[in-house]
Amino acid sequence: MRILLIEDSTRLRELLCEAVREAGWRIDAFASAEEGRLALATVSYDLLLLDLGLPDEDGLNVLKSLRLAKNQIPVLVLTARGAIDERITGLDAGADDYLAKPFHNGELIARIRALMRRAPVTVMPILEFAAVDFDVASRQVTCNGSEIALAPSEKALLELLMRHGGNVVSKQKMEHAFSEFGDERSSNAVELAVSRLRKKLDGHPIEAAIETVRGVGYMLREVRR
Amino acid sequence: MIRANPTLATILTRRIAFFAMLAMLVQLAVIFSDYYWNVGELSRLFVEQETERLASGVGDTNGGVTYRLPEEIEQRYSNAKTGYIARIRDQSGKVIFESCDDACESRFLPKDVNPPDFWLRTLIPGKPLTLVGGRAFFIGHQRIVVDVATMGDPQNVISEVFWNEIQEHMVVPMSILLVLVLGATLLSVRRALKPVQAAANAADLIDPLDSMSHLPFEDMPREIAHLAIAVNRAFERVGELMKSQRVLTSGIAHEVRTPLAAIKLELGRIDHPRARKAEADLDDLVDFVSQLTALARLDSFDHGMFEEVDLAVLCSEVVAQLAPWVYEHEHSLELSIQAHDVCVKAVPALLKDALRNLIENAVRHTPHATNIVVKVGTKGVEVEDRLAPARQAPFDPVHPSDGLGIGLQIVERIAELHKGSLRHTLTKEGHIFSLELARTDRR
Repeated sequence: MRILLIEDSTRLRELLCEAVREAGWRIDAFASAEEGRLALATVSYDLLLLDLGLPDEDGLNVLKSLRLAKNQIPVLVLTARGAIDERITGLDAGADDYLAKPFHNGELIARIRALMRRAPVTVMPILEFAAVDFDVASRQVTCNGSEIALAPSEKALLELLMRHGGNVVSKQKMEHAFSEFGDERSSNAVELAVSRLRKKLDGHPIEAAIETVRGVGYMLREVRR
Repeated sequence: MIRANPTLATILTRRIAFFAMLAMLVQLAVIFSDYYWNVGELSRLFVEQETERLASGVGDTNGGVTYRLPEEIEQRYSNAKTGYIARIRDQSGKVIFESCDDACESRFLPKDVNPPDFWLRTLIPGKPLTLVGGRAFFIGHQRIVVDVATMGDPQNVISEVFWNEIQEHMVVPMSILLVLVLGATLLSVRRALKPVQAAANAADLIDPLDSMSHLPFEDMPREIAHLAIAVNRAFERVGELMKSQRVLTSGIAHEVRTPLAAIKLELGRIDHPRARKAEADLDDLVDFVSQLTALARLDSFDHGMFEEVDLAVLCSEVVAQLAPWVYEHEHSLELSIQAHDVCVKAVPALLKDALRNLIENAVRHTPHATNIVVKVGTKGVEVEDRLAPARQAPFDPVHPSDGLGIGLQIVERIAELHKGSLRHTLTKEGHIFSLELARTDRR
């Protein structure tokens, strides 16, 4: 996977490049919007790490022009503008996620992984989360190489949870995914399916748990066992 | 303070009344000088007044003429020695009243002479008046001739004449004019001030931090519209200052956060317990910087950003956003919708900030395994931390005793900006922070 970083702070650029390379990905880093635009026009990247406070142009403009040009590259915005309204502005401009400075190495890598999971199959054909592998094409779920037998509807729920791993998936969204299998579209049905999925996952050494965020939805998160 | 100030209507009434009085005094002086030196005119007015008074005693009963001397002049015309004499005749020349004997009669026109409708003869020129005159009146179908004479005007009837003249030709018309002018002026002022009153009401509601706020000056009198435009310009300048402050806050945040990010990434690469401790300190510093900039933003945010917000939707978004962080800190989070369609007029970003602060506060100051419940009710939002049963201690505050943290100050300020309040209750199970907000009717 190849990542493009546009960040004006030299030290931060160096540290981010180190972190991304250590995670096993390739990265190209530039200090200005102009250089970044040039790189985007010449190389096909899988993800863009974009700082908003660039010296020659506001990063939001870069983002808007990308989306106007129908470029669907996943964009993770890195910025010092941490207020919620500023985050909303960034997301409205077409960002896929937002990371306010300062952040931890691990948080950055987790966000990149989460974005990859949400991306189309071509970017990440196998979803990985806490020792669970989900082959999107063959619909096979494995844990450390051994297959986990799941019903199609349970696989759909798991895929949804894995694609949003570490984040809350609303009950409505899960009901919608569940109803595609012709099952009853109700909260109870989803709750039962989640309960079955939990039991089946519990039988395997996975380092993840499905948490119920009451009143909102469910969240697949990594846990240390 | 402003109640002590007179209203514009009062000021105008006082001024108009003052100038009307002044005009009356001037006119009085003009009338006085005009009449006082004009003896001929005074004589005419004397005859007119006295004959009219005398004629008012004439009655017409079944074709016959009767007479009774009016009370107010009874004493004056009771005998010839008073200095005033009168004679009243009907159309046949028959005397129906006279106050003088034959000798006096020599002063009037002879009885067989048919007098003109008005006649006057000055016996001694100048003042005091010594004159004789007469006037004809039609009472019923009868022509009544009233003759009157005075020798020196001993009762100073001329002053009565003068006063009556002032009353009839100055006081009455001027009073009518004054009432009309005053009424028309007050009505005009009232109508002209109507948009000003509307602007004053609008000004009461103006929020100085709302860049969209302005005084409406349409339909205002031009002079007052200038004032309203000047006030609007002042508000625009406040708006510009707000923008500058926001740019400054954002700039400070950027300049501080970028090096902090580099330090944090660098620390993350050092595998040593001291590095973890430094990371934790750095996180506290970042929180502090975030809260300071948030507090600064609160004093400069655009109040035109208020919109109708569904509390359940807003809380659901915040809970979903914070749940990963809350679970990471080994707490649990729950959303409980106890009332649906609870809408408030709010700035969504600020309200989210407030709720986020309350949840973060609950996570930071409660032990592991605490369940944090966000409740949406009719009065607003409650954030309740329910300690695990084993950790419950009645009225044992788990929060630090260093007063209200900056996070809660932000929440309080946000509540104030939304005309709401933040309340804290300590229960056996834990703490409840209630963010009470004014509910709006759903459109």
